[in-house]
Parts: sequence; C-alpha cells; structure tokens
Amino acid sequence: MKDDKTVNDAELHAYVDGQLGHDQRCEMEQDLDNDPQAREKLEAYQDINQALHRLYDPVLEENIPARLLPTSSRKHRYLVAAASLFFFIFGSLFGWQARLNLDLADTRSSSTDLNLVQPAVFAHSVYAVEVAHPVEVSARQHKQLDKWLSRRLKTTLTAPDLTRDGYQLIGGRLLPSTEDRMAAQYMYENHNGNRITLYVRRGKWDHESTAINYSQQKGYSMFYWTEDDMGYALTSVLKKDQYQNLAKEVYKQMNLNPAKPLS
Amino acid sequence: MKKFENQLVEYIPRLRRYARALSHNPYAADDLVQDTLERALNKRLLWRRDSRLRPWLFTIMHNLFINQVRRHGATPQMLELDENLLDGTESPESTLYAQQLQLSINQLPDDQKEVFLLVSLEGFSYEEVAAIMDIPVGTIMSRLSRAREKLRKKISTHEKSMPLRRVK
Repeated sequence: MKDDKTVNDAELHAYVDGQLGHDQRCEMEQDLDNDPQAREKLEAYQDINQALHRLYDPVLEENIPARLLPTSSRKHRYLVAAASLFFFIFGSLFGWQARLNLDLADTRSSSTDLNLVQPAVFAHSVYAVEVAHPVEVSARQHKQLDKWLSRRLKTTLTAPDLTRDGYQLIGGRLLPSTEDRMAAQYMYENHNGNRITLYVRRGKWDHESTAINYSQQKGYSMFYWTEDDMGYALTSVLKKDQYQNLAKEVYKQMNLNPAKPLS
Repeated sequence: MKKFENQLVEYIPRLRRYARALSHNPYAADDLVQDTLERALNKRLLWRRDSRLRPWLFTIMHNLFINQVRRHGATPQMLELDENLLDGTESPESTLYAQQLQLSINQLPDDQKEVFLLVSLEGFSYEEVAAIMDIPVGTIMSRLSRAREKLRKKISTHEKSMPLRRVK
C-alpha cells in the first residue's frame, strides 16, 4: 500500500481541486491509469466535492436575512418602521389603542371560535412538532410561497417579517379548513427552536370587533383577530406576555399590508 | 464608503454558505456572518484596496470562529440534520449520501473542517487558505488530506451498512 503508489498524495488533492497546471494534469492522468487505488480515492474525493456543493450551494440562493444587510441597504426597512410607528401613534389617537387591549373574549361557539381558533390550534398542534417536514414550502422560496398561498386563498398574502423579534420564517403550507374554505399556515422559529404559527383564512365573522383577542386552548395560547373577511390566529406554547409584542407586530404588519381579495 | 458596503453585500451569500457548513445551525451561522460583517465595517480602513476583499472577509470569519471555539469549546455536535438544505428533488441514494456527508463533516476536528470547506466548498487555493488561517501551506495540505480520508472512509463504511439511521 505504500511503495507501489505512483501518484503522490499532495498531487492527487491538487488535481481534485483544479490546482495543477496543464502539463501536470496530463501527466497525472497517465499515472492514474497505473494506480487504481489512487483513482478510487480520486473518484471518492470528487463525489464528496459534488455532494458538498449540492448540499450547501442552495444557501447562495436564499434571501439574505434583513439583519445581515448593512444599514444603507436597509433604508426601506426604516421607512416601513417609520410608517408603522406613524400608524401606531396616529391610530392610537383615534382609539386604536382600545383595539389592542387584549381581553380574554368568550368566543365559545361563535363562528370565530369554530372556524378560526379551533382549526388554528389543531393545525399548530399537528405541524409545529414536525422535525422533518414542518412546512410544505420552505422560506427559501418565500416569494413563491406568498404567491401560491395568495392564489389559493384568493387574497393577497404576505408573510410578516419577524426577524427583528428573533423569529425566522421557516415556510408555510396550505390547509383545508372549515366551511369549505382553505387556510394558510406560516411557521416561524427562534434560535431556541420555539415555533409559532400564523393561521390565516377568509370567512364570515360574526362580530365586527377587530381587536386582538387572547385565548388558551389545550395547552396552547393564541392571539387572534379579524379584519374584514380575513381572520388571523397566532399560536404558540409561550405565555401570554412572552409574545404579546410579537402579536402586536404581526397585527401592525397585517394592517400596513392589508390582504385584498383577488377576483 | 458606499462602494465598500455594496461589495460586502455581494459576498454575504458566500459567507453564509461557509458559515452554514461550518456550524450546521442556520441561526448560529448567521450570527457568525453578522459578526463578520460588523467587524469588517469597523475595520474597513484596515483593508488594503489592492488586496482582494473575499479572502479578507474569510480571514475575519476564521478568527471569529476560532475565538468562538476557544471560548465555548469545539463546535457542538449536530443534533439534527439541516434538512432545509435538501430540496427533495434528489434521489433517495444521493439524499442519504448527502446526509451522511453532513454528519461526517460535523465530526471532523474544527481545524480540518475549516481547511476542507475553504478548499472544497469555497474554492480557495492552498496559498489563500494558508493566508486566511495563518499557517504554512504544508499544514494545510496535511489537514486537507486527513479530512478527506476520514470523510471517504466514513461514507464508504456507511454505504455498506445501510440503511442509515435517522438522527433526530
């Protein structure tokens, strides 16, 4: 295994890595014909390189998380932030603050409960625990995900960006819901692996209030609200005060970027 | 100045790819990228215009990474495969192979892992890697050789002892 070796190890690596000159390459190819063991190694190394690129090259196509962009490229984010601040202050002058009062509404047997709260909790309990397939379409294809879900729900949907709150979008899925309707579920995760889901669907809601409500069901907690025919439910296993601000953030973003019915 | 930032943005995808392979945890990886970018912005006056930006950025990342390792010990063993990386269009065999590779890379000592990834994934020349890691080219070569041999042996044993147990 040592002396019959005609190809030297360093050259073999240099060959794999394309770091040999033309002449050296040609010489090497001849040597390899006489050294099946070296050829076997070479092929294994090349397979490894290929698999390595198949594994990690998709990262190059991912959207760059906003927190990594230098401030100049983030200007538009400040505009969004400024607009939401304006909205928040302006809104509160006109009694929007009241809408953000989080009361534990008794919604039992209302259409909101049957068609929003319950299916959202169920969908969360089914998918948030999934290790291998938590989502149907990953956040890597964020734009396609929004487009697809918008088309199926016949409304314009945009997944809220919660990176500033430490939650990254993992992706989403389309779900059958009650009343022959469909729902979209977006899933987010923080660095501790805590997952929250946003369940969105259209429906006829039996109360006009668009306030954020809070509810606890089967060990899950949820903030939910309706806006025109849209219903939103943010579910997690966190305590109320741990993600109240997150719920407000989603609420704000949804108001800034309201879903409009398509067709 | 603005130009520097634009150039920086251009290299973010590559820095993310390397960091992801290094740590196997998307959030920890992006933390490392963020620290690298911050340091690069702070130190931009130290960057010589005539030198290439990419090796310089990877040098910063390497230094941050080894500081991290020194502070917290070796990178933690992966608990779960980074499944986001495989888009499901692969054949079961190549998926299995890729998963095995991911696990085996994670088990390499950090210094070998870095050399292997800088060469094989990022395509740096041996001289560039030597400069980034501030070690002689000879050491680079021996680490690269050891890393590749380990990966080759691990993967070929596993190919024989299929099916692969899933790691959760």
